[in-house]
Amino acid sequence: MKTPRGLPFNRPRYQIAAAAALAVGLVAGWSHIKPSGDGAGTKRPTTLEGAWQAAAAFLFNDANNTFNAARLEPSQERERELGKAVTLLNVQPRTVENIAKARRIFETLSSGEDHDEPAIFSDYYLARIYERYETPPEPRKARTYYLKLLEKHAGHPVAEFGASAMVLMALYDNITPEERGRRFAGLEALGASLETSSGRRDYHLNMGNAYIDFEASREKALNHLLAADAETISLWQVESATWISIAELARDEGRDDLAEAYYKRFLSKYRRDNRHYSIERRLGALKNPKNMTADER
Amino acid sequence: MRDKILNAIGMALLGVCFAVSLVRIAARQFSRDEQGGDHVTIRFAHWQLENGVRSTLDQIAAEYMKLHPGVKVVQLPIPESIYTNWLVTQLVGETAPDLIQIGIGMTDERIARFFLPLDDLASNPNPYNRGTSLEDLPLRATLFDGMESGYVSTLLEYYGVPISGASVRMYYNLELLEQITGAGTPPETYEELVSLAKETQAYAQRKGVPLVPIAGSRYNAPMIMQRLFSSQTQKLVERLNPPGIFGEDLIRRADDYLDGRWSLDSEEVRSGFDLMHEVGQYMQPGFIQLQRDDATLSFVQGRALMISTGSWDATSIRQQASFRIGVSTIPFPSTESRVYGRYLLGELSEAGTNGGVVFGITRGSPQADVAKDFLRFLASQRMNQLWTDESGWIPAVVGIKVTPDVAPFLPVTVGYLPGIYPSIAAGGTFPSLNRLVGINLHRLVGATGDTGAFINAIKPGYRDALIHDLRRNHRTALDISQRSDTQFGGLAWTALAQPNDVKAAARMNAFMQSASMNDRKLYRIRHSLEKAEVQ
Amino acid sequence: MSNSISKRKALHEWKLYLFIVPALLLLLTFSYLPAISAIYHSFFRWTGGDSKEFIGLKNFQAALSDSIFWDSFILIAILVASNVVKLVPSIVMAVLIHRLKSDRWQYWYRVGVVLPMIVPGLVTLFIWKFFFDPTHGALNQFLDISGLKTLLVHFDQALHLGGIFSEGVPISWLGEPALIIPSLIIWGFPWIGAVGVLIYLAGLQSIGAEIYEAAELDGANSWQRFRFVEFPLIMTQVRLSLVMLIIATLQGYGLQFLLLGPDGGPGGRGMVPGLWMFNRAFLAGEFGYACALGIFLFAFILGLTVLNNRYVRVEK
Repeated sequence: MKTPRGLPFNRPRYQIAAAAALAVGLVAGWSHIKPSGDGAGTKRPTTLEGAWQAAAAFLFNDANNTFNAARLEPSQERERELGKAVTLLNVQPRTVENIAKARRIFETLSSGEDHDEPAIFSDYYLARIYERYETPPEPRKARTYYLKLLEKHAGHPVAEFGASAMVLMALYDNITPEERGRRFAGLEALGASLETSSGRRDYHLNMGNAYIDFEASREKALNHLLAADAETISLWQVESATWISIAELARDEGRDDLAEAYYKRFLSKYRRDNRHYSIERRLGALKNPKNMTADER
Repeated sequence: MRDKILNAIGMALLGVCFAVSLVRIAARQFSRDEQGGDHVTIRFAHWQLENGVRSTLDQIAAEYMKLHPGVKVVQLPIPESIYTNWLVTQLVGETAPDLIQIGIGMTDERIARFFLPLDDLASNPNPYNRGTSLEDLPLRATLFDGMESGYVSTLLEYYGVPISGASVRMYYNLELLEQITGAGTPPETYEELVSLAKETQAYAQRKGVPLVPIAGSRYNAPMIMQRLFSSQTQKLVERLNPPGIFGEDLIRRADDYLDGRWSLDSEEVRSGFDLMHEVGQYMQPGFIQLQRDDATLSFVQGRALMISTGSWDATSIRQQASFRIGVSTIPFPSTESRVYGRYLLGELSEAGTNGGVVFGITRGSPQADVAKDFLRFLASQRMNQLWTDESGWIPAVVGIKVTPDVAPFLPVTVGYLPGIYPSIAAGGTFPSLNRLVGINLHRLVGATGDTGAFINAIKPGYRDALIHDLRRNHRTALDISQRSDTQFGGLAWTALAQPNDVKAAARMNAFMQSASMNDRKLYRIRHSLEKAEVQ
Repeated sequence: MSNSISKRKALHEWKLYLFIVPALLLLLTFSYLPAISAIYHSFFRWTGGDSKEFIGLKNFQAALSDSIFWDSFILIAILVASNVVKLVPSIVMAVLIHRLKSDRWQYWYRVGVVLPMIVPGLVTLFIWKFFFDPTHGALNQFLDISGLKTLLVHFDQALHLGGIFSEGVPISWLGEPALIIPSLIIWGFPWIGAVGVLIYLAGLQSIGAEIYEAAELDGANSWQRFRFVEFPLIMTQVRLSLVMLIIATLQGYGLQFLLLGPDGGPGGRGMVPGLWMFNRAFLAGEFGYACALGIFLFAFILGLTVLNNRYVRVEK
């Protein structure tokens, strides 16, 4: 190479000096940027228990990798397959192939004579796939699986969680009011068959809110919400809205004592709420109707 | 020879720069490696560059270092515009600070992956509250919002602790107000505001000074306008709600629009736009092309009598202005007003305001325990008192005494719920509607602005934009629902495998309620869309 | 163009190629990798976080019917046309400097043209934003003082422009839809770009003295010298500027974003493809869709570049 004037680039000493400087720079740079902590975010789980916890914490790819790679006893293989399928629903990037793969695994776990936990979960997820993942959704197939769950595994929290989904599927369909009325009637019997508190609570909440949304029946809406409240509602957004709805419906139905009780419950527990003052006024107006403004009446 | 010398100088300069950068990097690495043993450095990052915040946080850090001599606390203020990029780079590159302000650029996945759940912190008393009335209360009960601002509902855990609150107010140049009106009393109602604005305009014309009543901009004007608009739709919301429903529900409002139960021609809505048009006349011409800094400059330079902005700007404005500042809530129309009183219920409630400046702890922090301890210290009553006294921001801890400067910013708890906003929601729930209203706002508030022309301009596209946004909301709800399917598997399997684990059972229970709530929303949106597409 | 050398010779000093490896790595990491990532993500519904869903060509199908995106090319066409006209002042400046007889004055004029380059582009944008301020901006003040405002008011009345220019009302350059495009065109006045001037000057200085002598002998006047000698001989530089200008105008959105905001200002009149991409990504959260828009833009620019290379040749 023809060197620029004054700079002998082809002399070994300069080449060695440049290489040494580059090497030192790389070492210094690497020591600066190399990870010093425990790793980016969470550590990858290595056990099934860790994998389920990762799945619960939205770490889908990590959980799926663990389900695929964990060394297990033969008795744990069905649990592994279930974990693989459950996480495949959300492994990133989400693809139609992964959903289909998950469905096949669920179908395998669900078929056969086993009525173990993986089979129950699989029926639930098959219903969900037909309800939420297929384009367009296939509500009939979803309903089949939800009903199968309720029939065969009454009292199981997973099965009963499906009941509340069935309510939404049936009632929020694009149907005539008459058909909806028939569906409301058909679903009324479902509540009695639910054995878990959470199942009953979510069923009653969905029924009550559906009666309100479609202005189908104030009385039935009130009854369902009261039944939901009798179970444990721990989420404050749901509890506060439910109490207000109960109070409002009770007031409209002329059940002032009930309305007053629920207004007071709300005011006592939810002091720091934008609705607090308005509900105070409502309670005041309930006790003294003369104080009601035209709009509050 | 000259060339040789010049080349040698060039090479030497290169060599020197290389050596300097080498030494700096080595020194940084050395200081990082110094940790361990008794010496620990924790870093915390945030985007609040407003005046007063950084210096106050430095003071708090100094107090902590006095108590813990082996700990060094370093503050990293990062500009808001690059915060997301910076944050993601730091988290993925495993160089993130120990504490990070959560908010901008956060998704559930990022929080789950990179931040530590703080349920243990939330449920136990704060040792730094010993000797105060809060000493036996769990940390979350010592915060005015119950630590709701730090709760991630999809993950069912607490991930952050707030140290401040915020509100939006009207600021006044009291000296100028006295000159104009003879008295330094800010207006209490919208009608008084209009009267003051007219007086200000007359004063400016008389004196020949460049003065506008209200400093407006793309950032500040919506704070007043949206509030005024929603005052006119308060009764409309009550009328639209079916029996059993109380309060605002955005999906329901969207559905009502698509069903024709309200429209842009509804008298309440027209009245709201009339209000926006009217108040726009009292801002500087062309204000919609201006930005936040332009409006602030206008105000602090005495070219505007009033400005509406958040409590976060209070210290900055006080430090820049050479006059006394008055603060009050943004005047609301009076219920007795002949023109605007018919449709409103009354002042808005701020009782449900959530905390801000929420800090979380990164999972990769090598000294998470020290970081947690510092976070407790930050959220203690004594330090929150220091926070509000020095920064001028609203405190997050209950029972704090606020200065007369901060008092006007405390949330107003007596009030009603807002009505609908021009794009139905105040925030980003309906971005296409926001855009439609935004790009046509000049027809409403300009010199030739007119409510009818504005409504006619947005009406043709309003329904399509609303449907587009509903589809987007449906997609988001479906995403949450689908993600929660896998989450449900993890929670349910864990809870059923360990029937005696009370916490696992409680989480699963909370999840079911949260998921059901989202599912109801999903189905309601789907139902609205199906109806709209059939019509 | 360099002469080709044999493979043996080229590989003889193979160690020298190692010097370009760091630069290549940086280019791959910071230029090519983001582009490849954008192509990849254009096939996904991606909200910018960690979760994404493969949706095939749906983003591209949606982009084809996106009227805001395609309409934004109209503004691009207007800006390209105006930017072509804005090349003229730089060429004129270069010719004037070139014709100065004194080398010393040439040097100082070059310094004078280049000196503003030290001001960051963003600062210039902010200064112009202030110029456009309706109440305090220099532009409105100049129009008021010079009496041109009155002329504009008469113009408005004569052409029934609807009161864009009204007596006693400050002109809202960025708040009035009809004035947005003129504002984007006026921006940067007097449109003398330092880089352009230097490029043209370099071209002019490579013109041999004998050509000027020949022109003088033929009796060419000042304008004829420019038209028949100087301008044709700097066409290479002009074409280079043109290509760079078109690509920059097509891709750019910083000006519109800073002056008008992410929605393109009142009426969305300032919307350009790059700004719409930004809007979809960061306001609507549709990052995958924004990537698809970027692919369309890339294809458009590539097509123009191919056309330019194939049909716009410089005769040597």
